[in-house]
Amino acid sequence: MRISGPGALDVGKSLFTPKTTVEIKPRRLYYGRIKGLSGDDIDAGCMVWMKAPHSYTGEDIIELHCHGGTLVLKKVLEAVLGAGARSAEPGEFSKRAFLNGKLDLNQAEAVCDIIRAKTDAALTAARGRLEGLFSKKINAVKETIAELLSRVEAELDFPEEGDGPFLLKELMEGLDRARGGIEKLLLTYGEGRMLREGVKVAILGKPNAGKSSLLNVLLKEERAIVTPLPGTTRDVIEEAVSIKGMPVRLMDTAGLRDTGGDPVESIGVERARLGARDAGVWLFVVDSSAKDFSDDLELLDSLLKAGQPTGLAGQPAVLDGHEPEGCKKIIVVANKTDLLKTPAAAISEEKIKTFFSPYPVVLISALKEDGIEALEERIYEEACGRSGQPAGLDGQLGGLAGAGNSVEPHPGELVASVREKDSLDKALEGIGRALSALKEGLPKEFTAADLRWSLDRLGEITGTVTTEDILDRIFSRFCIGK
Amino acid sequence: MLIIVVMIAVDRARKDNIKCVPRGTMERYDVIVIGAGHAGCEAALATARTGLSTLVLTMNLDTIGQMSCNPAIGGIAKGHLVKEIDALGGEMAKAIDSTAVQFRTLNASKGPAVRSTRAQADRTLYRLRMRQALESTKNLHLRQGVVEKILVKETIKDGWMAVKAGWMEGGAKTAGRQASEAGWLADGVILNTGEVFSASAIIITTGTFLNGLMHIGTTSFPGGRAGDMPSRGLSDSLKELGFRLGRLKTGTCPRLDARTIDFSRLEAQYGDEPPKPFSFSTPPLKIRQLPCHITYTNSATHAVIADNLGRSPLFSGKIQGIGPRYCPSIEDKVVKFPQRTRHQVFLEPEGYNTFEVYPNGLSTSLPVDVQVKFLRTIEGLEDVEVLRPGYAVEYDFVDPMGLRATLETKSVNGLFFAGQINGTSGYEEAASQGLMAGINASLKLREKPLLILDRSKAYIGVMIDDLVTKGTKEPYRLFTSRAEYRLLLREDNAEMRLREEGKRVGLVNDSVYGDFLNKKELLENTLKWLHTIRLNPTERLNILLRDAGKGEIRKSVTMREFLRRPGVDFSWFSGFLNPSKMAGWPSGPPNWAETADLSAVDIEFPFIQPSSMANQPSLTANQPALTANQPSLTVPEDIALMVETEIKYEGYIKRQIEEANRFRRSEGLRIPGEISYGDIPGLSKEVIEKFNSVRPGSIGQAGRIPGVTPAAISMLMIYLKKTGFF
Repeated sequence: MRISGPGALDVGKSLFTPKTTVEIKPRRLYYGRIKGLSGDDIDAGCMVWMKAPHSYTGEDIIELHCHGGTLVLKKVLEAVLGAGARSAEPGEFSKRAFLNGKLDLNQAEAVCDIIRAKTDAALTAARGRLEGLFSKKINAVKETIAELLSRVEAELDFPEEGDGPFLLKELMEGLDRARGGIEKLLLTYGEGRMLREGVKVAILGKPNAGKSSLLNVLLKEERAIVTPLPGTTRDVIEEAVSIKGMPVRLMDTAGLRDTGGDPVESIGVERARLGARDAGVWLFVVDSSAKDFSDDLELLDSLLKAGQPTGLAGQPAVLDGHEPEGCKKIIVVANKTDLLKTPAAAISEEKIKTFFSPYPVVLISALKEDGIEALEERIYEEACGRSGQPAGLDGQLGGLAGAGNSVEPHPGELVASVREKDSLDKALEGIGRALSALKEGLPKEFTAADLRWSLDRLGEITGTVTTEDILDRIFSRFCIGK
Repeated sequence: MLIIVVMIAVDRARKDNIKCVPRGTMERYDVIVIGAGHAGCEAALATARTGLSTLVLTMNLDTIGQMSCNPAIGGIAKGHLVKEIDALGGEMAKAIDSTAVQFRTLNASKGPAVRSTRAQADRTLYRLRMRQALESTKNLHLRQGVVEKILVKETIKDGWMAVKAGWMEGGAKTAGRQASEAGWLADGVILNTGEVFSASAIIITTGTFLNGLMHIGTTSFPGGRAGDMPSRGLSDSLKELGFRLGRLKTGTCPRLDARTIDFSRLEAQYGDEPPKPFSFSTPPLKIRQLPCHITYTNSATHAVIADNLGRSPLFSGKIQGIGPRYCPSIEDKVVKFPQRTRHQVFLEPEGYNTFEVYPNGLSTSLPVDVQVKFLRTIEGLEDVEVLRPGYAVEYDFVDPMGLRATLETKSVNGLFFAGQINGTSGYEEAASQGLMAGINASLKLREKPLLILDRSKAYIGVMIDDLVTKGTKEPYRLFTSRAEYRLLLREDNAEMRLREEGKRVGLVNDSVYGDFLNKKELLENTLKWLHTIRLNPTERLNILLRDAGKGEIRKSVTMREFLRRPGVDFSWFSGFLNPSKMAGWPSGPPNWAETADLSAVDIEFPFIQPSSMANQPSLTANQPALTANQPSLTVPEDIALMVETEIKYEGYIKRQIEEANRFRRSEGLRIPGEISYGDIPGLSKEVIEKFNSVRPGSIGQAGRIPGVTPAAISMLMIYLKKTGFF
């Protein structure tokens, strides 16, 4: 049990009596008795005092270690509250740490993420951020821009004294470098966000295509009832699973067909359509042994018409649903490859791929658990929005960063929040403006204005620049000033 | 209610040991200005011109407005200051306009925001011109004398109420001024002769004279400037009053005899023709301009300097004060930049009637024989004779964080500091502070709202905010890069930015203000007009465009859009459009009636067609009110420049205006003066100390204090919100 604040030590002292000593020193673990308000013994336990400002919150912190029983905990809590403490609001310790300057905005967010992390990869990412990996990336770009700016400024302020003009070529190269750095960071947004927030994946398709089998195989448990009868699944089954470290909510849905008036199945189909609208990734399951796929394609088109907002490009929908809905990522899953005769399999595969182009097709056998890993890989890629530049990504990054065979970034270096993406986008905009201004032959003070603008935007991420707007964001995030 | 006013005037320096200002024997003024350098002159003119009896005390009446360093005014960012001074109604721009020997626009090839005017001055004429300005001003009294001590009186907390009731000696008028805060109150000064002068406001502008110590080689001697004694008692007096004093160093160059310089081998730099003056009120100038010359140091120069570093007070540890990084001595340059094979030297003429030359770039405190020796290694200076040696000067300055943004001290009401005493360097920096201190002293005594220019409004605001928020560790100089909203703070629009303020404080007379209003109207109308007039892609226009290499137009565009094209500017445009109307400028506002009939223009130049013409045929002579506002195609050059800047860089300017508005919002979140930072939960001791020493006036200013974290600002805001301030 942790107590933070200027009165923490008093609360601790009023409840805890150390066995061997009277004086409590900071950073020492004392064994003793925890007593209730009326002086009755509650438990034997330990207490430690972390003296301000050398604690997580930057305030005095008292930790009471007691036995784990519910009743004991409840009694100790009552005693603590009775001694003048109050229970913390959600996230209040981190908020205090932030307000006391112990965490920057990024790190404060990372703490939230650590608590919220649902998969190992998400946890690794959050921990990396807390250690400042992401801030380091941002600061590296800031450094590049600051260097360029200082040279431009020198030329503007000391035209008669400096080392002569900053060569246009050199300046443009520097700007390209800065732009590359920001673009590289921005490319990680899809992945970073997926790791942090996860994605909804809907399994859709005609009845009896093997959707429930696929769900079971991805969950690695017999969650859904599977029978050879079409229309077995009536309701939407939702389960959480980690795919390559990405938190995923899988939805198995009723097969989509004309239900012939069966009211239960009708509701199931309706729910399947609603589920499809919610999801960011669709696994559209077809029976690869079928003769003809025109029905499937028709169904997919009708689903798309209903569920896809037209004219939107970009990221898949996310769990929280607070993001503007983007394009659905669609993977056609050709199931039941076990039914294909060996010589016909290759021909069939080719046929299916051509038929469903441009959607990617993954062939699997849910029964034999064949091709599942490739499917998972594909789901991850699509969810991260990397499908557009699968091979080009590395080449592009290599060209920009000068590291041809780029090392996988640590998950803690990925751009994970909209706030960060927004600032990076704007910083990039500034660099772009600076470049076009130079190309148009605009005087360098405008380049300087653009660079400064970009720096300010990057500063918003690492929290070093304070503006009214940033404070507003902080207030809205931490619910301050009620 | 009982009032206690304690007079404190303990004078250890003087034998008669005055304890209080002897009433009845003293001379009383509204304002006393100590020092008559660039800051002092502006301060005194500002208070006297606004009707306050002003006494200027200077150690030497012959050095009023003296340029102690190089004979030039303006330059990058400094030119901006001079224009701002002019817009507010100060004197510097007018003084240099009438005494300059050369005008140049620096950064002319760069954009409009970093273009700066610089003038070479006739040092003697400038000084005389400034003295004349002081002497011819009503209410302004000059007196030579050395101030030994600042007299203050103490008043208790309830003073304000009592004063309002008119109980206090000195009457109600005196009373209002002590207004908001109790504590110390400026009362008067004692000279080293024993004379006592009393005043309600005191402005100290002592430059480098506070405890000045000059160095040439291994010799050092007290002095504020070559040939002038320092002021020592005053420094002690300020210490006694609790001000934090620091020590700075600056240096100056040896002066050379032009008759011993071979200019024929050196590159000459001539002034711009026609010269562009600083003041918005100065008519076109016709002067004989003198050139500057450029030469360079070389390896032989550097060797002489390197060999004699042992005799340099800078490198022997004799000089303790911190010098400016942007203006190092030549010995500093040689030591710190060994890779540079040469350093530029500007030979600046000192005036029309002298052979004295100022070799800018060679500031030094090496022994005189070394100075002569290294000078003679430089091309063109082989036979040079030194008229005065260069020297370094160390002096006391007062930590400017003890000042409010009005330049009044926080601890003594009615006491103002301006200029080099605040840790700045440069004539222009000094003059603009002097002006602001004078303006605010005057406003305060007249019980009017004070004048604080924010960072988005003027370079003056940038400078003062930097000083009072961050203090300074080296002599502070202004750069354009210090301004966040640089694109808005241009020389060309200084008048538009600040003339209204000048008018409000009482330093801009009706005739100048009237000219400004006309100009402003013309600017606004021209911008509007350019929006409504369309150019049609006629053969004739396109031939003209093609011939000028500007690219043809394919569809009808507004003049505004047309001006946005690269390479198209106003003068080019109006030049071929309406040559007959070019002649009259800049003799006065254009004759609207004469050029207003746009249909006539249309006939004469068929590619021009007012967009409103077709459906509003009545827009001619029968609507005189409207046509009277139609500007001519030929607008004066300064307007044309502003119009072009506004149009060509519209996107950038709009963005900065948005940023400036955001900035002003956080400046608008005022922090109440009586706030007790210790009461704010969670603030670290360090931050509390910082807040207490600066006592920021707004959330914006608080955020600019170095070492104050965004988190601390959040806590401050939360506290203010919780306690109901905003």
